[in-house]
Amino acid sequence: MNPVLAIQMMLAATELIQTLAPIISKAVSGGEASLEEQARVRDAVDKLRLRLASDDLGDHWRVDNDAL
Amino acid sequence: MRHISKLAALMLVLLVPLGCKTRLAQGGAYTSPTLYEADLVISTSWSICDSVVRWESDNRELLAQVPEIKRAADEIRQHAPTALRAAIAARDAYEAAGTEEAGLTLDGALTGLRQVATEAMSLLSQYGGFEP
Repeated sequence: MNPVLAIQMMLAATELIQTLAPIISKAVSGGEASLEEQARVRDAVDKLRLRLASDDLGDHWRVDNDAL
Repeated sequence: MRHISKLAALMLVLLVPLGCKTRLAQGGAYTSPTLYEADLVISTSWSICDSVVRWESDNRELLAQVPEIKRAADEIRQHAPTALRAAIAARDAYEAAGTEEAGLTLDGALTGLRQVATEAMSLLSQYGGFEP
């Protein structure tokens, strides 16, 4: 792969990892699930239920066969 | 390197069977560790899949130089919603029945969801320069 492209892709992925990092930290903390953590997980699943029910996951979830 | 270890830790969370590690603080949103852990897998898998397809969508022009990335992201777009719906339906059925059979169905649904999330993570590791 072109080295410049590889670096650009790595930078884009780094941004993504930074987005996921707080979620990962909470998920691997183990031990006792605090009241706040339980509420966060419940809220996340409740919101996901609504999005799935309305088939509204966002434009980035549409398969666009003409994009490339 | 920090990112790599975090990804590795996340993969471990996705692979841990239900009922293995969690204690619940009393008075919270859950009374069943199994349901909490199921919802943790569902919400974490959703976050991973949503972030990866957004990453592909936001960087499509750049990533178009490697068409395999869009093809893999489209696989996630096609399979993740089905796997998420199945996992939520199975956790609801387990919550209602609490039987061993419902538990097995829940395990199966979460295994399918973990597979999709793992594929999403693999996409990152393969093309983002990170090893899970």
